[in-house]
Amino acid sequence: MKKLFLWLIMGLVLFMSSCQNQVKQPAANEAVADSTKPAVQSNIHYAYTIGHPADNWDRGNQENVAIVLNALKAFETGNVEESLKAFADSVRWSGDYFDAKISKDSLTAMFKDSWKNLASIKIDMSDFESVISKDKKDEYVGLWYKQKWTDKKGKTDSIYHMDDLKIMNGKIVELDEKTRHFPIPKKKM
Amino acid sequence: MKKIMLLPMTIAMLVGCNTKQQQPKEEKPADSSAAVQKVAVTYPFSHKYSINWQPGDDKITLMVLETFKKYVDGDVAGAMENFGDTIELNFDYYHYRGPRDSVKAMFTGERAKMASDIVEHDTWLGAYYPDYKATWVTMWYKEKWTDKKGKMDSAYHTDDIMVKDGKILEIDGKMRHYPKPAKKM
Repeated sequence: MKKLFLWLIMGLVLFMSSCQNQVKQPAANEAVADSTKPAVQSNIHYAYTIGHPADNWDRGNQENVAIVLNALKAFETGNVEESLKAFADSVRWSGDYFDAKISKDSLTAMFKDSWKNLASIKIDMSDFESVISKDKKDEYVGLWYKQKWTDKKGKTDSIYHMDDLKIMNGKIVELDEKTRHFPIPKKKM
Repeated sequence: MKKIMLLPMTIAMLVGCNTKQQQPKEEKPADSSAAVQKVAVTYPFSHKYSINWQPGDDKITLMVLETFKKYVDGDVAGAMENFGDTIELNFDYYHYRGPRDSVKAMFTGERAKMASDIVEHDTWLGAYYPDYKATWVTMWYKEKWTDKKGKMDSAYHTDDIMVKDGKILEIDGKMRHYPKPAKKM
């Protein structure tokens, strides 16, 4: 009986997967029509090699976006404890001149330390993307945003972020931050 | 200045976003693969750029990668063939919007400062945004270079390159440096 149930479940999953594929197919065709050039899925020799298929990423789960954005919003509003709920027990954090796998306790301390000298943070979100690899093993959320902050002395600054957050079992396991500074305004004569 | 030199070299980045109009939330196309995940998700942030995207045309991704490789290999003139007449650049501490010839001159000068340039890609993603009829190709890669004095350095990049009507119109580079090695005692 148990086996029969499993087969039924597997059959249902296969059926649903088949339906999803049928839904996805027109999307690719739509992209071709919109971009006026045919997308070629094979026989393309890219200028660089990577460790997975060249067209490795599909649009991913939007719930992952919510997990990440809620964590960022909590951090933005100074609620570090709430933000940390989205993170796994161990997190790899890569940032400028920093790259380490750290425990949640260390992450907690670092998040709190980030806020120590700040009066406020403001996030202006540009864009976000949720992706999943073709083999369904890797899920990431990418964020593009401007971060502005004011320290406790009243000094303001800003930077542009591109963050990649890896999601596993509904938790953030990697935070990879890339940034660019805005041009320094010319001094008035 | 060093950072400015590095970023132009990389030639790419996605999602400039600054000048885009505010878009309605989550206008997923009915035919998008996202249609299989119709979950009512409320986001705590609004977004300036459309989040309505779908996998892009592989040929556009290929063109961007080939352009980047030409630059890395020192063929700046060849790389510039795929750029539009007016180009916007966003790099660390740097913003420029101007004619292709000016960008070519700048890229030529920056590339000439390097004796060698090696790029190792982690991955890339081409995303087509139907609301703008534009494709953003994002590249994630490590760059190692040696300047003409023999000094070596490296950085990790995420570049966003916007392509419209077959031409590169914008490059938006973000980066992080690797941790400095601990000094030997």
